[in-house]
Amino acid sequence: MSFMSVSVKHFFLIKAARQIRREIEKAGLENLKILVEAGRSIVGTYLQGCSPQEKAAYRRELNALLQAGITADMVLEEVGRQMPEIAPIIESKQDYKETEIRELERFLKVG
Amino acid sequence: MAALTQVLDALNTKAAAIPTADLAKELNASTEGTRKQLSRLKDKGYVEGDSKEGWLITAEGRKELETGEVHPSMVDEEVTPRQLFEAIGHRIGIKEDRIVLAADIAWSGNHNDVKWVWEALRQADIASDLRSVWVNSWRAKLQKGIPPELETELTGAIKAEAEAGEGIALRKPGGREYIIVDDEPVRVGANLGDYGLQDAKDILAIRALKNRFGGAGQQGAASQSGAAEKVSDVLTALSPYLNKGSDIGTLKEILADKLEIQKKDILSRMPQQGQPSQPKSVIGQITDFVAALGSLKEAGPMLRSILGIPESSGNPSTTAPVGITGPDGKPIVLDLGQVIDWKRFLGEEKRADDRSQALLGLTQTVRENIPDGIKAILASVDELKKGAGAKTTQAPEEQPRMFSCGDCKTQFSLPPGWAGQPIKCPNPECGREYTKEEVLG
Repeated sequence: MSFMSVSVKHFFLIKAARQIRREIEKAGLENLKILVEAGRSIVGTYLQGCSPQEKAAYRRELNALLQAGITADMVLEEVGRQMPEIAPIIESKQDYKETEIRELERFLKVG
Repeated sequence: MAALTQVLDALNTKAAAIPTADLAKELNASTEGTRKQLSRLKDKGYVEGDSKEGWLITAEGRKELETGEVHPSMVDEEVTPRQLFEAIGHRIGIKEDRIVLAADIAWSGNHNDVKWVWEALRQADIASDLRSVWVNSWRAKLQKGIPPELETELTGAIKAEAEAGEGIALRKPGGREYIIVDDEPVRVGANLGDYGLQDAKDILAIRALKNRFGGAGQQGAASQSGAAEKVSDVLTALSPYLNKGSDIGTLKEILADKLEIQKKDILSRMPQQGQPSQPKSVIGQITDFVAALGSLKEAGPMLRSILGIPESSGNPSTTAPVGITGPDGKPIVLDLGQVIDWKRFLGEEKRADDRSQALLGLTQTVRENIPDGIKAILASVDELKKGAGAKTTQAPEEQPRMFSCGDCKTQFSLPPGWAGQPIKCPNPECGREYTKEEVLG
């Protein structure tokens, strides 16, 4: 892999994580914490509330990331790096992270 | 540095050779300087010895000391020509910086050339009288004669004095020989006065002009008295003819001639009103214009009508104020305090409206920018919160769960404080017993 492709991949990863971080900030960490404690999927709730157009846009972007070799796991890891305060919330519930990743994968498959 | 004679004097008193250092100490001079002087004396044969063996005066040296013919030259005393040149400047009272400047210029060329030195001092802006003294002194030091080109300049002072002594008031160029006493230049001696002759004359001419044009009013009276004198002169001139009974034609002719002369004389004394003496500045013209307007203000109505000047409104403070009267005929008094309060109130209202509009817009923007996904999350959170609240509030009032017997369909509920023990159907005919798993399942 060339240096350019690595750089582009890293750039897209950071950008995707930053977009998710913005959404998290809008929702509020406390609210997310409540959802995690209640065992509700944040990703699922979010995507369920989106309009079909938004869903299509997200699906398109996530597929582009996957084609570039950026997985959902990598994106969540980058989100945790950019927002260290979100890591304990996700880690507080067992297998929560894996559930969220599966939720994302299901979303992409459904499309 | 000790002089040569001092060195010889000191050595003359010594019977034995004396080291240079001791001799210098005795003369209160530097060892180096004393050694130089001893070397010079040795060259002339007045002393013998050296620094190691010490110094002794020779017989020739004693002889020269007795005759007193040991004259140190400039070189012997280590006085440079420039120092000498500058010393002359000091002596004639020229400022230090100007001396240095003049010396710099002089030394930029051949300072032994008297003509060049004269030119250098001229370039340094040294006054001509001091310049001639300085150059003459320097010329004497150089033992040179007066160059023919500078004969006038270097001997001009002497000539002027001689001519002044003979009563010929020739002006020495640049000299200040005159003072002004009673509007007359009076010579008080070379460099003792305030002005040169020409300067004094110029100043007196300026003063005369100033008096003539500046004090026209005063001169008016003077000219009147002068005219009266002239008339008396005319009468005096005519008196011989009047007494002798000359013919009337001759008298008329003489009178006309005299009056014409007097007329010309009087007219020449009067300031010429029609001719502008000097162009006035813009400020002066404006000042005159304002003064003229001021005078026109005071002009009467007839003059104003002739000149086409409108009626002046007068002093605004003395004119009647333009007032608004109400229906009752009384003047309406406007309270400015109320107006200010009203304006302030309007401003505050406008600011409050603007702030409200801005807040509404901000809220709308925030609302529009929250995506549906976030809304869903927030709604879900609200639901969870409400559910938790309902649970906590409804828990004490929880209705007992009803069960139905599988056999007889009799309804029954769990007894209070049930801890999982087997429960029997309340129907006595049925009496079926349920375990905990069956109840919860």
